Amino acid sequence: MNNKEEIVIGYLEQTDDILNIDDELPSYANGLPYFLENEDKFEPIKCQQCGNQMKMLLQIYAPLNKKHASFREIYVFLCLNEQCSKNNSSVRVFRMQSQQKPQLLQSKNKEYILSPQNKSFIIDTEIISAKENNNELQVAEELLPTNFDDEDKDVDLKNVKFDNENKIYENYLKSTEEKEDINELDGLEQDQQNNIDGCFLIYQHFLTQYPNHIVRYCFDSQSKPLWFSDKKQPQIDSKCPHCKKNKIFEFQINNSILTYFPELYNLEWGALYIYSCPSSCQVGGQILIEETIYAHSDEQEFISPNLKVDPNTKLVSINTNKSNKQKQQIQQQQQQQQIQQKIDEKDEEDDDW
Amino acid sequence: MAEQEQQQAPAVEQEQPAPVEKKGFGRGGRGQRERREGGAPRQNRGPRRFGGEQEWTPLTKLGRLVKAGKIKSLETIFQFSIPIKEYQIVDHFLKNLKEEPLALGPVQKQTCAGQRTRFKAYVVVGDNHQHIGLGWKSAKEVQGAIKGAVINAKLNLIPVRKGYWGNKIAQPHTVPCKVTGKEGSVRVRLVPAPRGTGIVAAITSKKVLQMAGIQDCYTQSKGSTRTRSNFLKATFHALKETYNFLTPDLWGHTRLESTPFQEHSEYLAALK
Repeated sequence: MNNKEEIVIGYLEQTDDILNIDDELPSYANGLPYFLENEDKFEPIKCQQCGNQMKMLLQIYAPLNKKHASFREIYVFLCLNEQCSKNNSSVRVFRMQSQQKPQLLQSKNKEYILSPQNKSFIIDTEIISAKENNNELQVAEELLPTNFDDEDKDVDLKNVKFDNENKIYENYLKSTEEKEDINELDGLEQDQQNNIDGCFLIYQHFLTQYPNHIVRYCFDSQSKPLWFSDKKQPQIDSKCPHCKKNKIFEFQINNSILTYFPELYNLEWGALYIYSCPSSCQVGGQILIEETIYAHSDEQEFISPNLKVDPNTKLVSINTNKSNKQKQQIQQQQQQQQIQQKIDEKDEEDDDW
Repeated sequence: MAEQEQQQAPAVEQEQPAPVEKKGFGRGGRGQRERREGGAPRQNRGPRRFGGEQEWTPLTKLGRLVKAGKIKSLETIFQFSIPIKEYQIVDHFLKNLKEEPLALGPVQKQTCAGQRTRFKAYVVVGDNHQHIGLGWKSAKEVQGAIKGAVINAKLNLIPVRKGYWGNKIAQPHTVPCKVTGKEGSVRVRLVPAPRGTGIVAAITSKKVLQMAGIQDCYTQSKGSTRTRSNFLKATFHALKETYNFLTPDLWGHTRLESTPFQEHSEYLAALK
């Protein structure tokens, strides 16, 4: 994961006036979206699974050095329905761009607001050099029990405090208990952990070093995202419909956004990864161009949706419609048998006479 | 260190906008620090220390529930076999956890530029009552290896079941039944012992059993116990087996309970 480009990370900052910023277009979270064109020109954005209107999580201003994309804004929408969140299609991302400075039109559709109680937040940024990023990665690999520590690296460990460890080490050396000779330790280098999620530990390390950062932006074909977990890492093969090039990673939205918006607490994903066309093509005559987004979660579904939880006793009972039908069928069969028996008895009585 | 970093940072930013107008998210306009009128540089960024001193913000659902105090004990997590991904969860429940390195030594790897030596540490973490964890890590410095091994051990924590040798009086003191664990060629067998026997084992596994809270135990081992990594892991696997063994007192019916995620789904939905 050696990036050569700088990485820009974004924090959320509370503000009263979104438009009073130095950038040409706003980057902010939670509020009415500011579209670059009149929103009557396209349909309100709906969830593909349940059909409800989606809420806007954030929009960022991400211009490129190209002429046709010098004013480029990316919008991330999500669906708050719990059932949809288990599926990847509960999040969608769109891109709007223009050549000249566009007019900012605020949407009037109040359904877009994610959290009506909270105010809007501006996204404040900080640039991290590639060297610092790589160093942090290597510190994480050196000190955390990830499984990726085979290569030689120059690690800068000046910022790390080893007080606790020094105490432990000194106690170990001083202890008068019987110890086996250190030289007899076998040279087993390759000792892998089977159930430790190395990627998650690195992700957690970055989130403690740059606390509460929301967005991690690095729009480069060589850049790799900071994965949330070892499992379910996708291979994104989607291509731009216009230029047929593979989409590359643009930015990711981290889990730490949950501390600001309690509406998101029940969602399954750990991080959202946005992939977009490297040359930012204008596809056809579309105003809103959809890009690829991947919601990364490492959870597996343990409980099937057929299980019911009794709120009083908190016990779980299995409730399937099939078994009810079967019971009904059995009951019907029994009733028919009983009726048949009665008819037979009557016939026998008749025969006797 | 942090001050030097901050002094260098504004100098770099002033150079940036002038020569090449590089566009991108967060780079447009003037530099970030001069963005707001009369605005101080953002105070979120404190000194960059490695973990520890900063407050723990949970990143997983389980972490959020633990931090909010909704889960009462570690045993709930063990009961539903939920994987623990954040070691701060273990710190939250077990405040008196002891960490002891069992084996610290150099390991070498042959490279074209000679031999590359690193230090490998095996650390056992336990509360001397009923939890034990074993972790290992190799790193360039001994302290770094110990740090990584402690985190590893906390993520590998298991509960240990104790039982009686004979009469069921006072607290359980020994293994509930004969259990065996294996790793590589090493087989370690733990056998229940009467009260007062103490732990009859080799130095390496004795430490592990002590920290697990077992007071009396006979052991038998087989295979190449000189390979300490395998010996430690075999003992650890044997202790793991104590809760996998079905004894007659567990024959009764158990009711299905809802997992913590289901039980606290209202809390997870909207911070009540």
